[in-house]
Amino acid sequence: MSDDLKPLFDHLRESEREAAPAWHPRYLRTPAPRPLSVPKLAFTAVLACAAALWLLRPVPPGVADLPPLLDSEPRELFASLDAPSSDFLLPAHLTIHIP
Amino acid sequence: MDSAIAASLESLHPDAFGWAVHCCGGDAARAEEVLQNAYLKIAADRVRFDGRSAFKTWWFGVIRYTALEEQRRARFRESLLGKLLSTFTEEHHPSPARQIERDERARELRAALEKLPARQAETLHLVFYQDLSLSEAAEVMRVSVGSARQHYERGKARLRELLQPAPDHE
Repeated sequence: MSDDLKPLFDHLRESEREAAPAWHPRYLRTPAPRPLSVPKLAFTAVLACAAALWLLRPVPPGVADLPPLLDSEPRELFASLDAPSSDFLLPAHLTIHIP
Repeated sequence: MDSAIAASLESLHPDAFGWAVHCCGGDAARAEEVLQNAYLKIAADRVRFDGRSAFKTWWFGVIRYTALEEQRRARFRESLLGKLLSTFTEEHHPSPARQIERDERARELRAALEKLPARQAETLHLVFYQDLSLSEAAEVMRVSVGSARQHYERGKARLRELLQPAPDHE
């Protein structure tokens, strides 16, 4: 493709070719896996410890293990007021009488 | 790796560097890094030439994509989150500072190309610098031939304007 711009690009190409890094076969070598850096290793260790602590934490007791609560026998409401016991604390004139 | 591919890569190396420099906006140090990463992709079999296009076209597409990836990474590193993360997982890959000695004309052309819209500059580089046809350039840039032709024509006109010597003012 002939164009007046072509020589300019050829010139640029030549100058950049001179500056190009030399070819080296190492470019096509697969790099060995890099060892983990110290901060990464420390971070991984802390993460592993946290995970282990979370897994080994004491498990709260299940519902079946709880003691029975409010386990009284069903009976009539205010039954205790009909027959006040001897140790009733109110004086006689203040005693509530339910009709 | 296929020895034919290795030989092709070696023969294309200087032009591939030129294309990488263009894709990195003239930054030779970053271009070297981009090219190195593109080679690594081939070495690690992360990209594979399937023979559907010319090798040069395919390879330049890989370099272009790698440069875009590198650009995105650079933008992330410059972001606040990237700076924060880098304090924990900092890895230094110093690339050798390579100063390209360019003469005045080459510098002028490079500066003018940088003023063009990216697609126009890419088309002109691929056609004039890399001697690719318009359809090959379109393939590298992943655009239609018609679109590449439009970028080519507009780019040429604009580049000529930019390279015109400035009129003398009295």
